[in-house]
Amino acid sequence: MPTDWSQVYRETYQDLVRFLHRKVWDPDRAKDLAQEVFVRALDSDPENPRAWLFTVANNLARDEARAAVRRKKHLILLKGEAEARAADSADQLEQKERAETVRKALDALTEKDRTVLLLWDAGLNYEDIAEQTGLSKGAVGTTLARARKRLVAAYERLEGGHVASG
Amino acid sequence: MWHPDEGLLHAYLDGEVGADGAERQGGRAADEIERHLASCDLCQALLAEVRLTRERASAILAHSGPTDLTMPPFEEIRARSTAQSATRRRILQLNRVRQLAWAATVVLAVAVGWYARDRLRPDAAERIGRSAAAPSSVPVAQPEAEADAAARFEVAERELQEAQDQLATGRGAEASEAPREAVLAQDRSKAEGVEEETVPLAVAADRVAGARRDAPTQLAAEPVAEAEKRRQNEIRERLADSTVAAYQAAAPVAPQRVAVDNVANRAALARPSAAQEFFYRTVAESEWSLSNEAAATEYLGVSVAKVEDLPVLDYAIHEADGRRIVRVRQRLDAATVLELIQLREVAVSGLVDAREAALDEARRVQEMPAVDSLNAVVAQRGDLRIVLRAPVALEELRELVERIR
Repeated sequence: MPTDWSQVYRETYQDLVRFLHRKVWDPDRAKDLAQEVFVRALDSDPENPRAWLFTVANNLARDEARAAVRRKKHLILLKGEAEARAADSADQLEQKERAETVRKALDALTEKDRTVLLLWDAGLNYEDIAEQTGLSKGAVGTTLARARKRLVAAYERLEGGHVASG
Repeated sequence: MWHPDEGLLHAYLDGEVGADGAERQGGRAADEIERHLASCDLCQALLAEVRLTRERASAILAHSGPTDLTMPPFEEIRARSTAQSATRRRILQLNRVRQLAWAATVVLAVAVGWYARDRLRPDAAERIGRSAAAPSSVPVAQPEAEADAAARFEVAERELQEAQDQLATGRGAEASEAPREAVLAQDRSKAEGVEEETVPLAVAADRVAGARRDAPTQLAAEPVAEAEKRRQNEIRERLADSTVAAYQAAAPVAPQRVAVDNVANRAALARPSAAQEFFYRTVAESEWSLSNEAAATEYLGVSVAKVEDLPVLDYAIHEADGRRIVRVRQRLDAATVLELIQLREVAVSGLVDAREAALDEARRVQEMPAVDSLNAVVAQRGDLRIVLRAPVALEELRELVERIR
């Protein structure tokens, strides 16, 4: 039976954008990539559509991160973001600061820990995560436990630093 | 006592440890973990800590997500997909066309290179000329020359027949001398390059009579039989010339390279001797009789010519018009056979003798029109005339001539 991509789209799009956003840290780019993943998906008929989508998304995000152009654009966006910060409200400013802290906390993780954590957060089960990362299903729990602890620790350390400096 | 580790507790909280044995995680089922937790305060504390970490991590990640998660219409995604598919197909087609263009370019380059290679080789003119031997490429003027040569051949043949008949019936020389001499006069005129024209028999007879008056008296005193034989020889020579002319008319008209550079020798070589008629026609394989070297040598009367250091495939003999011809076939390489067709060249007339004498021995290697798509050259070794034929370049044949022993 062919994949009902419109349904998969409704069920997966937001998780995919979130996952991609935590990879590229650019909301617009994350949306673009998510749509690109679905555009590619419509020509395919995989057994596990959701896992397939995240595999493609992970590859796209990796390619994106490797691209020098993307890095340059990212710097420009950060610069623009800093300039626009003055115009943001207090809530918006707080949300952006928190997001930046999360990004830094995630950056403190190893690539494998980060990927397993983000895939779990995007809704994939252990079996799909194991398939994508090459880990055994039993190792996914262990990796996830380590990743969560490190994320929390890194975030709290960064938050503490913020509080101390604030 | 067994205690679940943190990884198993994370899996347990994530719902990845099933209730039955079929969905075990870390070798344990969910009910087994629960039974242990019910009896182990330490693991209960650890589970609480894991739950807190898990919830805290999820909360942290929730802070990082984009706030705007509105979905564009799925139709928009489908339209993009359709457009991209069309673009991909176009790119694939373009790539295919590019590949074909490359392939065509390579093929063209190879073809041009091959063609240029043929054109630039020293024997290109001959090769191209030979390849033009197909009937479709024969020039328009060719049929006229062919018809003319054929007519000359028929006339000469008829005259020879008549002469032989006369000799056989013992008719007197005097009775037929005037007409015969008239024919000879015409023939000599042709040999001297005089424009061919129809000469009345009576006029020709007068010319012959005048010539006879001026000639030394011994000519008149010759016995009739000798005069007749001489006349036959001349006619035979003319017959051979006609045969060659007929062949050449039918053969390709490609420029024929002659191994001499002065006009006199070129003119002499342009008219092959009578013996060469045997080389210009294809002798059917069935007409050759297989022989051996000793028998072929005896048959020929002189040692059979061969190219040194080439293995001999066979010897064969053949008789045509009373002439003994020997063929030696030698292997040039695994797929190429060289033929040496040879016979004793006996001068049949003073004209032939003079022509042969005029040729420098070193230059007496003459190219012939290709026979049966084989290039051929004629060489003279003493009184042995040898035709070398092989599907190789003329230059190679010339080199082989130098190695004839």
